[in-house]
Amino acid sequence: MNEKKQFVEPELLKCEESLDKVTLSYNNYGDNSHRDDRGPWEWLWRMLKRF
Amino acid sequence: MVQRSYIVQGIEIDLYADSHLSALISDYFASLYIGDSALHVKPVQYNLRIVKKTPGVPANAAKAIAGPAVTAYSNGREIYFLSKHGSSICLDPVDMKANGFLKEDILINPAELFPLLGASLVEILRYYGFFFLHAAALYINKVAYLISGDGGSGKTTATLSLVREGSQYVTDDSLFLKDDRGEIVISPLYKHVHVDKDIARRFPEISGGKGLKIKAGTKVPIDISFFYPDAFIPSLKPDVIIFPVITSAGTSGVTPVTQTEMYKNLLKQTVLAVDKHIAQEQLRIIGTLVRQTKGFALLSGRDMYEDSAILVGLLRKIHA
Repeated sequence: MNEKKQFVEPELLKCEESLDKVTLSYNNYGDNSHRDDRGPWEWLWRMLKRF
Repeated sequence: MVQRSYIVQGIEIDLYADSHLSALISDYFASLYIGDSALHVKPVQYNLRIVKKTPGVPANAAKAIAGPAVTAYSNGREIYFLSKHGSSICLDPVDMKANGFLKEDILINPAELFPLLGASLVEILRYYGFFFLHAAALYINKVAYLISGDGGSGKTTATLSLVREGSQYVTDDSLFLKDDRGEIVISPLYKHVHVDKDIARRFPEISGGKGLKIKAGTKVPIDISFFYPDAFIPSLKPDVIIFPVITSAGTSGVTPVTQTEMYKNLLKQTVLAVDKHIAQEQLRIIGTLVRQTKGFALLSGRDMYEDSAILVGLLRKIHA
């Protein structure tokens, strides 16, 4: 189980790239008060729904 | 003021606090894992005092993250953490200093103090490369597993079931991810396993058969190394990530999940850093973790609730 994966899903690469860009562009991560402390935020939920 | 020093993940934490506050805060820092080796980095300095009127956050600070217990604000390089009742900690991640102004009633309400301390500490540890993830971590049959899921999804039950069957464990609930020369390794946040009333009843061996008095809806930390000597290991490099889901089905099972699903599921079990550049690094670490592991959904049925050995069989099936 120690070998690194050679294959990376194209969808994962797209998801990572989008989140990387949006992380820098957002001024406010949003309201997370309805969720557990450990969850992501509104903007992140919206981004993740696209993938 | 009383000065005490602690080690968390190998980093020195110097605490200066009012004497009546120091004992309570000591309980918190003493519950954290010290790390497997000392890091020669700038110590973190906490200055915490009780005040009648707290200064709050500056008017021009931007709200960054609103959680149920603590809200984080960004103000230049400073990060403010504000509790529901107005106590605050201001973090300067350049000087590695945290100044706290706490209301007196926090002394009788650790449920407000600990999330405030925890949020600031988890944030500052990111600047040293430690990134929080809500997951259990185990080593069984030469394979390292993370079990990541919401509260109540069965992480502690799975941990104790597997330890009972001979597994070693790092943590049952909370850990830090760290990049070690391109590979992600993990270490525990807490020293002990956190057990509720139901789990204490199902695993009587962890209390030495004495029975634990645990209030409904609360958890107590238990040092299970006393009952399972040599079961604790301080770190591991994950091979497999399990995402548990409790179902009403009679039979449990495992199914593979895609890398994208793994990435999304892991993001749900972390909190992004307030600083955007640190948050980008955090996303990269999670991406690296996905690449080095395989992911599976674990559908936890009634059979697993009744027989803890079933989980071991399902994990074997993954590698068959």
